[in-house]
Amino acid sequence: MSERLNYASKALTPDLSAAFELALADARDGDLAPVQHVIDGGPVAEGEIFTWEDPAAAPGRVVTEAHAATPDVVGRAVAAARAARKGWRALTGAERVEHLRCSQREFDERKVEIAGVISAETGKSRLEALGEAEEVVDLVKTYADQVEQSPESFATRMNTADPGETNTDLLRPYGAFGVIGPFNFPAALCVNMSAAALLAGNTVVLKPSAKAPRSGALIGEVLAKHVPAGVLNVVQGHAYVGQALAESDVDGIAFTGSAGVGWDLLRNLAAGPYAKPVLAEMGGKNVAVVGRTADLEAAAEGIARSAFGLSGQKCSACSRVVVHSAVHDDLVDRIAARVAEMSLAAPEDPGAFLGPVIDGVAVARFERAAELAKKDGRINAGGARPQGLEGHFVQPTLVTDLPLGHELTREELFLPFVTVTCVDSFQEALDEANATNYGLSAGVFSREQQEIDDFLDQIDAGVVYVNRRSGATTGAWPGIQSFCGWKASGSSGKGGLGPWYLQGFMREQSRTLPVS
Amino acid sequence: MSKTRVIVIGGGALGFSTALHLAETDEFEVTVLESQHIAEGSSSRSIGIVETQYMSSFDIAVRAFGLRFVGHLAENEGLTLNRNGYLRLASNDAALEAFQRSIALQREQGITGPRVLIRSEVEKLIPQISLHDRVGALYGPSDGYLDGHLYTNLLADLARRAGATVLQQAALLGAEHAADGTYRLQTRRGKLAADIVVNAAGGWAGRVGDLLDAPVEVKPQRHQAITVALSQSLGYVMPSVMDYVPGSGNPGLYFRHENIDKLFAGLHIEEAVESAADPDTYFQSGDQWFAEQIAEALASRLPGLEGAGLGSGWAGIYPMSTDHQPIVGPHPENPSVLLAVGAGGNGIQLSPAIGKTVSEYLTGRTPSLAGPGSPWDAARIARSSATAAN
Ligand SMILES: Cc1cc2nc3c(=O)[nH]c(=O)nc-3n(C[C@H](O)[C@H](O)[C@H](O)COP(=O)(O)OP(=O)(O)OC[C@H]3O[C@@H](n4cnc5c(N)ncnc54)[C@H](O)[C@@H]3O)c2cc1C
Repeated sequence: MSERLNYASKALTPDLSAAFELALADARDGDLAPVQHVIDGGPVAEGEIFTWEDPAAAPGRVVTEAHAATPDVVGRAVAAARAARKGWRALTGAERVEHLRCSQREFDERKVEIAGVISAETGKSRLEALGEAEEVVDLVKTYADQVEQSPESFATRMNTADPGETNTDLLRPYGAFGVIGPFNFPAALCVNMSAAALLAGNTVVLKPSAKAPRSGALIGEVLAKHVPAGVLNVVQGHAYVGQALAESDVDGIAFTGSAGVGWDLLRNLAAGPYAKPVLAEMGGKNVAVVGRTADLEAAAEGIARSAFGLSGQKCSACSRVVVHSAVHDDLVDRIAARVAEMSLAAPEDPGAFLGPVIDGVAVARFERAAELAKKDGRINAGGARPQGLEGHFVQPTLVTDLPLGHELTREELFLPFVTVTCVDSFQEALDEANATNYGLSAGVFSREQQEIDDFLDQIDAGVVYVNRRSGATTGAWPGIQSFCGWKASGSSGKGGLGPWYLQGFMREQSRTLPVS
Repeated sequence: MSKTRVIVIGGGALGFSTALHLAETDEFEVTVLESQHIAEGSSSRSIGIVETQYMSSFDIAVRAFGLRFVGHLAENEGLTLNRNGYLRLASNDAALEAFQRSIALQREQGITGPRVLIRSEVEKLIPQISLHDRVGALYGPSDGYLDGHLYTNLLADLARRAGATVLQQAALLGAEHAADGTYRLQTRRGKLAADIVVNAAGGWAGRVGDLLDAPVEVKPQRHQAITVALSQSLGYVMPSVMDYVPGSGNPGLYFRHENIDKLFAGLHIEEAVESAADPDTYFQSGDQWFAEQIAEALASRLPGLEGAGLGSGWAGIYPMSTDHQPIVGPHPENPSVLLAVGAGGNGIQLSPAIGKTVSEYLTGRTPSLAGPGSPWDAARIARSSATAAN
């Protein structure tokens, strides 16, 4: 595959499309044997078998079977990761990069296969899936480049007060990290956390999402193949496996997922005699602020793409618009016009823009939200389940006229569901934009420099975009944006994909040594 | 009121499953007598496969219970249960049709995973296999295997925790049966009194039956298994593969994963084809002829395993009843004795159901899996000895 894709890509060559379809069909057939764990370099098939069904088909089409790790399996995986710590951290940064470059190359060669598995398990469109597979490669590359470019693997020569001493400041790995992945980017986010942990010198026990076990397994298989035994282990299973991992003897946790689970994890792990690091990236209630001078075509386009791409299941999805009353109706009409054109389909349909949501629970959440919207506001587009589509499909939905502070404008839904709130000044817009607990991404559309400056100064969000037609709040790419959520959206103030992420997997050691 | 005193003879999988099920009811004072050490008989010499790929609803039900039981131990008690999956190969379309019926029967019992694989699918699952003379397989992805020694010891621990007493180096030497039905047992550790005695003595069950004045015919059959050393790791967990055709009278090759560079292999048969061995003096190591037979069978079934070599072999006992089904329940002529014997080559996977059944008989309930009239009903040995007498 020579084409390079990202989350703003709009078309594929026919060759790539055909290759994707084959990979999708292959992945839907599933492997015959249930997905296995990887411990100490070897496959392990212990634990009851659980299944995952294709969200884009009528209920019952199993795409993946996998073994759910027992407590004993988790214990052995953690023991293997702990035993491998010494050998792995003894390598130089450059040596670790060499190992990871092998994975980078293999990911690159297997992009279409990876995309097929992602689509089979999540139902996401081919553009989104191939974009994700591309991101997998770029994530490893970005972090490997950073290690190569950091002077002496993150060591700093300090001032010296005593001529008989040398003083160095090092960043050293914590040890073994538990890595807990989400379903929405089941391959890329497993790679994001695992590759960073590994390159920083930690060993890893990866637990992929139970809603996309094979995507995570594929990532784990490739990463494990190119590092020494025990450095990268994989355990599969539901939330309680993640729980067991978090409570185990790991030295830190990297988590991507919902804020509820993430903050529980943080609080629980902080309750011990000392707090282990928890690098958590969580959801958002990401806002697009539209001023009275905005280019409304660009705003409508950027909002629609960010709100409905991946059916609203991106952490950075736009789920709120706050707009000046002077342009409210015009903007709403333009977004609604785009919603009317969006094609909702399974990934085998080349024209699909929106796929299904992940499961029946998400559909139920949608139905409840739609009911609330009908009761307390007005549904301008969507609001129902589409006719004639089997699987967990819901219509992209645009809601207006909700009272200020309504829960639909405050709580994350993780659905193709966007609310529009009308205000009378730009300052009111910023206040409303900041009135949630989240602070991941935000966008502004305005032609007035003062408004843009005010937005940049006041918005409580880590990832901000100005007048971005290709995505009001979404589209972060390794090495280009960082994914640094503020407030409830992130635990560390530093984000994946960015220049400060690797350092979060390391702790400082100041060394004063005698000059020999 | 004091509890009924039950003494279980035999510290193998059957004896300890029985002891555990009884102790958990809290109605009995349970003692297990083992002549050597826990699991020193067949139970530590087994391949430990637990699966449900059988053809009758009865055979499936008792195994489904077994699989759930060991699954529970894996989730909660730290038992290592490797769910590597199980494949029963088919040599003709009639077998595949029988497999379809098995799948339907398994579904009725809540086991939804099994499916029929055609030849190419089996080859995808096990790239090293050659199936030129086979048409497909019945595949149970949730089936697995465990270590018989560890399993039996875990059952013993759990039985103790539930209140049972375990006496090792305590062979039953003789027994007096009083008129009121109670027993006085002579053992190497002294005399013990019992209201009920359970014969779970595996390959020794016939002898123990004679000592108890409750005869039962169990033929100890010697069976071997061997280690296959791989030249390189496979990168996947090898499922258990059974290439035995039930009723054919010929032993069939089976093998399974053991660890990253080892398989275990053996020859299985459910009919009693050989003459009985003496469980005290049989040859416990592997024979050369067996290694040769396995080498030949593996070369034709797994030609892709280049460079694999055979490691050490061992032999153990299948305790076989005359009709190849376990004998479970009250002895027809001596109701103070319960039988838990004759599990043949299936005693690990059947041990949970056998223990449960004995416990149900003793608590006065109708056994839920294998009661009177079922293929395991001990009453049938009275009929057969009657026919033999005529
Ligand atoms: C090579 C091989 C592979 C096998 N593979 C499988 C498999 O994959 N799956 C499966 O389900 N089964 C398998 N089996 C069969 C299984 O091992 C047996 O069916 C099972 O272990 C029988 O258990 P048991 O408790 O009846 O007998 P045992 O484990 O033999 O226990 C009987 C105990 O009674 C004791 N005893 C004897 N006499 C006395 C006495 N006088 N007083 C006190 N104690 C006494 C003995 O010391 C012994 O420990 C295999 C067997 C072999 C040999």
